[in-house]
Amino acid sequence: MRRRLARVGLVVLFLLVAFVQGVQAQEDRALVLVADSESGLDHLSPRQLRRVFLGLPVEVRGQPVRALLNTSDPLLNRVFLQKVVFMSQRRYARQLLSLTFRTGRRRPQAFRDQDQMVRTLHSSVGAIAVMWKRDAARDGSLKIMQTLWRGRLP
Amino acid sequence: MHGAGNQERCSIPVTNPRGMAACLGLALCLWMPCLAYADGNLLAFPELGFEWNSGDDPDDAVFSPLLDVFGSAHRGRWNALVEAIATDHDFHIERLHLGYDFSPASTLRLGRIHNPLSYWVMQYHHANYLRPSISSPESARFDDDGGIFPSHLAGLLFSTEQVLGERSIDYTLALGTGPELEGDHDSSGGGAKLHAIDLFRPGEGRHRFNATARVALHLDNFGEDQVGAFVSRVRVPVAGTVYDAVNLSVGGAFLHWKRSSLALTGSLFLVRDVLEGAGETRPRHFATGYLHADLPVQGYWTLFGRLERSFGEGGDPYVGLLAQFIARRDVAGVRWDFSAGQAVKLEFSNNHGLTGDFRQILLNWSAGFP
Repeated sequence: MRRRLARVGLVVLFLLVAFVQGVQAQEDRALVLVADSESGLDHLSPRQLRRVFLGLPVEVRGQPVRALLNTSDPLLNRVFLQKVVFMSQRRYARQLLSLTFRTGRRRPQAFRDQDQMVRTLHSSVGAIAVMWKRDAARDGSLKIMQTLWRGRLP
Repeated sequence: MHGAGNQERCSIPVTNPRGMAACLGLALCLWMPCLAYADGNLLAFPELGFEWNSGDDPDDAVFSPLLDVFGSAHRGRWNALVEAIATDHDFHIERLHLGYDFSPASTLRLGRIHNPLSYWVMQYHHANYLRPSISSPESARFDDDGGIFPSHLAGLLFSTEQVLGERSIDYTLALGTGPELEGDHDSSGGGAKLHAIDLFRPGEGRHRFNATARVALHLDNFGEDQVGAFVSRVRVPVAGTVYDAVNLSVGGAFLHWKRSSLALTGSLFLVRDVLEGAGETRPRHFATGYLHADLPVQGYWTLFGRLERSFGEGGDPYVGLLAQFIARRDVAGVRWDFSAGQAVKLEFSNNHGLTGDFRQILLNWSAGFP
């Protein structure tokens, strides 16, 4: 009986440890909208934000806003598609392709290298992008305009 | 060949079978120097189509490769755009214009443009990959392919957008020269065809003033859901028939509406045509339109269907000249986006044309790069 209780206790303990480890493996993340620290941009409405990332014209106080796509992290890209443009990757790509084909407008430039994207943010007037908050907060030359999403991710 | 998928064009013949590769090379050679001085896009939309019509021998089934090459470049407020099509037997410039952006939402373009009369044409132009179906509605069939409406103009296109909170309104105005209607010279049975001005042979044919205005209300200001109306007027000189000219006035409405996954696209064209010559002066009226639905299922699969109907076209001598016109068509098909940027589509249709009824099977691979 005692041996059986010990076995059950061991299993419960194992499950408890697994649960705690699972919770600890999840991490608080926040997706933020950033611009150059000298940028005059401070806040975009959700509609303005979706328009600019769909490649549609948006002006704030007479300043055209230009989106840069951060594709350096697949997880970040997935959250961006779900929480900002509300589209699947294929539909979003087709939408941008269609817009360029119809109007000749430039598609938002995509960056696999986040450092290169940040350099472009500094050199392009009116440029915005999305980043993890922890990355943006480390870079003093960036301004965090707003938090787009906050949650726990594995 | 009845021609829903038929892409017969005749501007710059390329008589060798390697024309597509040559045209792509030419486009790249012309465009690369531009990209050195300006931001730009270079897109390619290849497709390979198979077409079979009931009554045809299996040997008459048509395989048709096509390459749509698109380039645009920007420098400051100036931009340039070109769309060219190469098939296994010809090469054709579809759009070629220089533009100036007064603001991010207001642009004036000058050159060879598509007529904003048709929502379908302005949305998909010649890229099959971007269309949900393989075929286009009859009212969106291109003029040089036997379509009943002018689809190319040489002139000005002004477009602007007014954002009104959660909605926006697009205004578009096109002014230019319209097409000439040429009779069935080669007696192929294809009927007369509208021929837009050829930029490389501008003195060829007679072309008169064409004006089209369009307004569209975007219900969500993201450019998807919209309803709109258009009017167009053009005088079309006629050659090779008993008539001298036709005055076309077209008005109508269109919509694109999406809820959940189901997307509906429709357009109605009300037409008044007056033929001159052969004792004809009486105005005639007809209407044509379509309703297209597409429904994504299971991720990468999309089912689509389309109903096309025309009314009053039976006794209209203008429609009678365009022998390829299909007054009624029922379309059903499926699209499979099997990888990023590539799709295979299969389409069945039941067609009631001026020259008879037929069924059609279309199979198409299309892609959009990059």
